[in-house]
Amino acid sequence: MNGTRAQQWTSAPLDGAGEAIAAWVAARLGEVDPALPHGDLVALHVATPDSGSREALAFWRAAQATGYALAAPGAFPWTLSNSATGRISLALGVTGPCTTWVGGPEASTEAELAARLDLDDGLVESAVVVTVAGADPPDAAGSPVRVVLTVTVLGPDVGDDRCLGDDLHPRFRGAKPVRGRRGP
Amino acid sequence: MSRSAQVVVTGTGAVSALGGDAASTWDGILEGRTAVRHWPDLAAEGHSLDVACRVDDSVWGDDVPDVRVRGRALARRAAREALEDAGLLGPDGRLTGTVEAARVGVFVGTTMGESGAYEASAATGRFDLDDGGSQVFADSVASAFGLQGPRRTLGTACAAGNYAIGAAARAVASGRVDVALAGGVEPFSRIAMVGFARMRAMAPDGCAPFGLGRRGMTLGEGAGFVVLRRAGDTTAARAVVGGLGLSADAHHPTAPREDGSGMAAAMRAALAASDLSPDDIGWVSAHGTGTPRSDAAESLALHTVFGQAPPPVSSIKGALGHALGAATALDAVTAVRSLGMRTLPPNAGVAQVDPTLDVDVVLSAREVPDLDWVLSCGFAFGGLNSALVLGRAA
Repeated sequence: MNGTRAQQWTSAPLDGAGEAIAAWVAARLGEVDPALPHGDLVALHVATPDSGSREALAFWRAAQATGYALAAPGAFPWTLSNSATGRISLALGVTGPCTTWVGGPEASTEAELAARLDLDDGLVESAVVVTVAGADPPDAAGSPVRVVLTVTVLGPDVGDDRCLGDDLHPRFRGAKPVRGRRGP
Repeated sequence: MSRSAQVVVTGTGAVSALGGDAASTWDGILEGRTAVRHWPDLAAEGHSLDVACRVDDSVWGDDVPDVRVRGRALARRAAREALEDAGLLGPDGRLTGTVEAARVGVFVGTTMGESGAYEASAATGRFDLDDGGSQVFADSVASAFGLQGPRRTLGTACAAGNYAIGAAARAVASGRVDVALAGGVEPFSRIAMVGFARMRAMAPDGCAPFGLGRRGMTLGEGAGFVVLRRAGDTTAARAVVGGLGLSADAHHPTAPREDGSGMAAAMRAALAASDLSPDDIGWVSAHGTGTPRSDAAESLALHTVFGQAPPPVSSIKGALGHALGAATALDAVTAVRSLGMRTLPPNAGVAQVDPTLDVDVVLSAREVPDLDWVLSCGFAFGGLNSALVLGRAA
């Protein structure tokens, strides 16, 4: 039977968007690494109401200030709503299906449902569901933002205590990259 | 693969830089036309490149949408065509009584939402996520046509249409909904225009997917939708939805794995999910952006999956530009037409194929009487890879 474990963090206000948020997310994920599963038999579902929004506003403000032809391109990839997903997949080493669901609570619900379907359909052996959201809505002024991150792990024998910690199931303790039928 | 228990496409709709509906888009692609143009307004605004594929204002008649709601207008237009094509809209433009509104879901892929709303915020100092974020497209379409089932937004950038169609097919197949409207939307984005240009990812004179000397992508815009139902619930199937294969590179924020291994994993997963072998695929609707590295990686992926002689390949981005979140939805609409006509559309914008890629690029429309299955590929920044199988209706 598939079980669930979850953990949540809230950041201090982060100046700037995109890479700063991604770095903070990756660092939090690193706190539970190598507990989190990775490889190509792992699915990653990210739910977010606003990933990329602050970055798009900030990028456009900066481009208008410099002139379009001289805009610094480094922040542009973070304007896409899947930027967080790409960064998390990189941080965790997840090479299975990775999906970004945009919206409020319904997106989080859908992300977890899709993860369970991935497991039930036998597409993957475990799944990581991540919710990334600013504590306040994005504004045009680019105010610093607190970020709330929730990580949920689903898989067989994970248990139901909904708390990642030192008592991790052996399955996720020192996990090795999973190799199998989906690899190229 | 059994066709009897599958999810099928019963309607299609599109708005693209080549036309205001699916038929004109298909006709333009089939004729090998390209929508690449120089746009004086972009040059006047100071963009370093002024070449793009945009939906011409003539499509809208006297009702050209404001830039802040352009994506919603594109979405509603393509969605209306798809629903009408599926026979689901009555004379009042709302759902007919043949389906229960609460059992019709909406699944939309996009990149960042109403780009014009973000851009306008620089002048107004205000931005409302509820009026500009990615989810506005699904909300707008659902409201316009009275669709009351689940509304979902897939923010998976350049591959978003495939993700949306795959999620919708899953919802239909599981019985969670009876009908799904699925696709992708992207209004023309000046933010993307600046970003891609400054990343030196854009060609100054139009993109040439798989072409010798290709220099990059051309930005496009548009919307594409398909209506999905269970095969047993309809006799009006246009195409069969096979499996969706997904993978992640976990490699780089923007660059694909150079060996194409992540792309190949998605292609293989799609074949496996469809119970097909590589030999079953008659055409690959390629991601084919026209950037040197992406096209090279995709070609390697094709050889990895299909061996020395991959199926014929073409990308519609030479005709329509790269419509980002709408790109793979437009690919799907094109693939449905291709399967119905048993004709492979040409890869516009290319005079000479890059011989080092060693792929059979379709340079003029090609009839293939035994075309049964198409593999439609889309790959996104962040290393997110997708491949969707579509099949000929029985």
